[in-house]
Amino acid sequence: MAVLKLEQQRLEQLVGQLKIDNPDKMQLKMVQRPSRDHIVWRIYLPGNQNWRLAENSVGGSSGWSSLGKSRATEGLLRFRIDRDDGKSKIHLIRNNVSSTTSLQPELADFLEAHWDELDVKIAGVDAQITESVNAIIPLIEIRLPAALKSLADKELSNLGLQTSATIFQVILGSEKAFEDREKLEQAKQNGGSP
Amino acid sequence: MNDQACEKSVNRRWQLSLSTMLLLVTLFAVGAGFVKARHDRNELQRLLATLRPMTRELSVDNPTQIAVVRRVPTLSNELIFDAYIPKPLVPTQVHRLCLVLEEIVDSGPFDVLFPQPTGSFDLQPGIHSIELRSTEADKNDVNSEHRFVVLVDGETVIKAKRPAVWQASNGWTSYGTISQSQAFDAKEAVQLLRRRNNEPNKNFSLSAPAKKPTNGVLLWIDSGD
Repeated sequence: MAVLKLEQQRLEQLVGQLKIDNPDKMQLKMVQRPSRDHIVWRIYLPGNQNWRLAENSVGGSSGWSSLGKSRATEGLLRFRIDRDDGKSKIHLIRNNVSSTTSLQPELADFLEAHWDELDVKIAGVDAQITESVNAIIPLIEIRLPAALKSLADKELSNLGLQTSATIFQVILGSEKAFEDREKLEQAKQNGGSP
Repeated sequence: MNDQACEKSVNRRWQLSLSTMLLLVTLFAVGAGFVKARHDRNELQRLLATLRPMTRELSVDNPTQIAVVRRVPTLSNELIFDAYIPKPLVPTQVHRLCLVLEEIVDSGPFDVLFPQPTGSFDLQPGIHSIELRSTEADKNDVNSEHRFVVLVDGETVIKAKRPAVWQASNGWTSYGTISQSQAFDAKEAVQLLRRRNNEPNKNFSLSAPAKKPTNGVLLWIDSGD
């Protein structure tokens, strides 16, 4: 038993701790940040749901990948921006599922140059997050602060950014939560109630 | 008198001596402790079973067997394995790391599944890191090339390149991955990666055709037998 506990402590030093207080809710915590744009969360997803991991960047790419699982799963989710050969790519990796998206060169340069001045919010940094399966969790969200608006107008003129606009985000939620949100947005666009 | 005797005997049935009580309480406590310890141990083992796939550490339980695990990738296209190579069973046995880029099938007899390698490298006994780096050809440049580099312990040991037409369409189909430390017989061929290039199919989607050799990447450890 003592050997098993030591092994648990050793492994948790590598991948962090996550307490599954309620197995019917999403639970996550950031456990590693090897660099400012390389972040690892430990995530628990309840069963009987299909899950989506979506990313949106202003004026450019958006997409989602399915983490479709019918049983509860626990694992690591990695977000990383990699710059290689003058191109910037976003890597999202969870267990054996991964996706890569290219960032617009102007946006990539802007993020690289002004990362520390941008309004960057990362989920689960200070404490574990517990959310209902009906919620959509922004894992990382980068917004444009007012102080950078004029600079962004100059460097990202083609994107027409507004102050506080979300420049980039990665969001996680159940397929149903995404569908509900899409219906709501559709209804808003049509000027009616959902 | 008879009633009194009867009452006495009834009362006596539920009487326990102090030492018996102590014994029963001790037995209960030991039993409860045993059940709790077993429950805690099971919980701990369940937790370890959840944690181990997140770390993907190489585990060498039997030094006469090959052991392999694919490291947790930190980039989508990162492919690094940790491998333990045992001492040869006979002096002539050599474990070789082999790479093939053509004629890759999804099923068939051994010599079809593992054809003559395009490049190979002799692996010494011990623990090694094995990495495959691949760079796709530029889709907009017909003169560009696909490049493959295999590294063992950080040193380039196999290099290969293919023209852009080597992969006619985007994507590939991968077969299995060693995402938890696994042991293999020292005489076995250990497949690290079998990736077959996709082709357009009759449903207007992309897939690797079944029962037909394709270009792709096959990386394995040959037992040399």
